[in-house]
Amino acid sequence: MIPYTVERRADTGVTNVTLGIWLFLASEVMLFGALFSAYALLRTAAPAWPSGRDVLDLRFALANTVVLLALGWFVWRARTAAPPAGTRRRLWPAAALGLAFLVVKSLEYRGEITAGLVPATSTFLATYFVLTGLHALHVAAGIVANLWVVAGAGRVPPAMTLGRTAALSLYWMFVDVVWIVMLVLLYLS
Amino acid sequence: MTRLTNLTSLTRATSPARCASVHPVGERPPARRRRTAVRIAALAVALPAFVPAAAFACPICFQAEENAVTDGVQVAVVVLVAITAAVLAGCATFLVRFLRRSAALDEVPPDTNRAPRTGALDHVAGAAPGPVPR
Repeated sequence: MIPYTVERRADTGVTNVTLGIWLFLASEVMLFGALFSAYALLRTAAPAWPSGRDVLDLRFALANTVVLLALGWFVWRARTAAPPAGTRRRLWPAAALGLAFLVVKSLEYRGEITAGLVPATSTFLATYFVLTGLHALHVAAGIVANLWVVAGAGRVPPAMTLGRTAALSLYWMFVDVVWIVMLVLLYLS
Repeated sequence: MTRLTNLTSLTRATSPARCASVHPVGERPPARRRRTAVRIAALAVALPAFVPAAAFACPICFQAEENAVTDGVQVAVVVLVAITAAVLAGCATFLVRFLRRSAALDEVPPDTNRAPRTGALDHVAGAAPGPVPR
């Protein structure tokens, strides 16, 4: 069995968990990068491209931006919290905020679909649903990860919980950054 | 006199005999090897500039009519190349850092008096470091 280590490696300068999450995030950047590249192609090639402000409801997007930033703040604070109580105290609200994001997103989708704004309506809406849908899946995965860390906080040693929390905070920072980019590209331009 | 001593030590340090003892004949010093590798890489990157006709032969839009689609393809290619380059630059930076740290670790003997850094535990007092059974 490969031993689970929590020390910072002398050669890489980081812990194995940190190295692993950075490699994972690099692959995620490539995934979203390919989609943003497709967005750039479709938008530039389209004879007409609607403004997100005219088609989408900006209030939902702004509310979700606040929710995600608050979530990121909670997870970031969990990095320095003493486990397990401190970790739980910060990751529970973060998971709840993630759920709130999904609820707001569902309400937004429902309003759009009711108004006949579905992916088949236009290329803009197709890219919008693909990008925001994939991002919402990442938020859902982050909630699961939050709950997993909270559940394991009492069972595993504090060092392991701190390593997991550090990886989780990097993941949520990535999800926040992707959302900000999407806010600018889809809603504000 | 001091200057003369320094010069003498410099001459001794860079004498062929000493260099040969550090780097055997036929083997280049690591810094020189690195410089050569960087020069070859730079030349490979700059090569398309010397053969523009071949470099412009993009299979997607070569000789294609200039329209919105070709513009879109170009923008998409630039976006994807920029993102890929950023990710690869991050990987390369890490690898360079990794090599430097490895080289430094090879040179410095291990300090047994220093407590090991625990990474995840650096900011938390009282948390026990050490390997954790899975």
